[in-house]
Amino acid sequence: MMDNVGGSSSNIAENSGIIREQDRLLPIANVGKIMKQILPPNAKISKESKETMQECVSEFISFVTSEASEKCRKERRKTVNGDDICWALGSLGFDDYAEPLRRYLQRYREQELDRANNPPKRG
Amino acid sequence: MNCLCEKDSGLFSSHSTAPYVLGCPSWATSEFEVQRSSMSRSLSSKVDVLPQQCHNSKTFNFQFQEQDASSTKSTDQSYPEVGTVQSGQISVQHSSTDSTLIRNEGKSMGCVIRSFMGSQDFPFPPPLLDHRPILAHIACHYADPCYSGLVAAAYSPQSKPVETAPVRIPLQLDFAEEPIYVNSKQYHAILRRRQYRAKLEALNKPIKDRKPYLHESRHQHALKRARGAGGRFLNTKKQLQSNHTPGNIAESKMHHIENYRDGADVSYAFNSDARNMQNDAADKGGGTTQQPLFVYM
Repeated sequence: MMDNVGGSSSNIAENSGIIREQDRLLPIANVGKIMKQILPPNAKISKESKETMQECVSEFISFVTSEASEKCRKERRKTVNGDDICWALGSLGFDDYAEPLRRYLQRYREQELDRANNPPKRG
Repeated sequence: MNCLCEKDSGLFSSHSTAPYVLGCPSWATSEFEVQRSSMSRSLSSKVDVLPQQCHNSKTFNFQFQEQDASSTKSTDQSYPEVGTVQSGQISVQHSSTDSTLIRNEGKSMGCVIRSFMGSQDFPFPPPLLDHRPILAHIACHYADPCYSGLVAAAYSPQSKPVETAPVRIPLQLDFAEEPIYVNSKQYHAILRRRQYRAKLEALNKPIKDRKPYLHESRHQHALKRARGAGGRFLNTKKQLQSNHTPGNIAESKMHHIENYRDGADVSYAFNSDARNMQNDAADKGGGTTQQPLFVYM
């Protein structure tokens, strides 16, 4: 069970389908870590920066996903897969990102196949 | 054929005789009339475009690519058709005009695509570069009426519009509502997201502020943890160092006891021996301190 702030508010959320903050946004700690990867070691990131980037990246994910979801709706499919995301990036004008992501997806699938064919041995 | 010749001559005559500012709307009107006519006339106008310079042809292909993307969004397509569109884009990259024309013939276009087609024909007839921005703005102005209902329905003051770098150059013209230029490929998606965010705003009005923490129990645990200098949590090693502090306190107390013993004035040899015994007892520990007191008594 999760200890939420205010049991009554969680009940209201479950009843009326309100989307909570933690469901709408990425975790702020993960956003900060990703931002830190590209910065020099002694750089610091303000909380305002993390919150702003949190809003931006969460909106971008919803933006691309809604485009992919619209395509799946038209094709009468229920599952949004990686190809749909790559197509959505291309149709929205992010061609520079769609191509590397296709290569990443291909390599990821090959890795999954290798893992399935060669399960790790347990001593 | 005569009608085509007359309309073409009308276009060129309006271009030559009309003033600079007024020429554009007359072109737009005539182009719109041409657009309403049959497809063969638009094909003939495209054939007229072909003799243009190489640069213009590149612009032509680029606009067709945008049009393909918008048509992909507007029409319901199955997966093989998507593959066809991709191959079409490849052919566009190779700048094969014939396949482009054939593909355009095969498609059924909506209001949006028609407005884009009308806008595409504008930049090519005028040789001067100054005409293009104004024509581009006219194209955007044409796009606005088609979406006016959608924009009015979708837009809400609370929602934050997603603005990206525009492909087309904005113009500094005096309008009541200056339009915001976005990538044409993203236009529909932006409107969709605005509607969704407006719905979320309606639902999430009571819960808007950011919560400082999500779980009460974790918050209480964090409050109970030991903190060092600067407010950071102490790690395991620092906690071990903090365990030595009671030992230091005991040492300070023993030192205080020694001071108390040294304070006593003793001038006899027997007492001096007793003092030595007291010192030895102090070195061993506090448990045997009482015995020297007994010897002293």
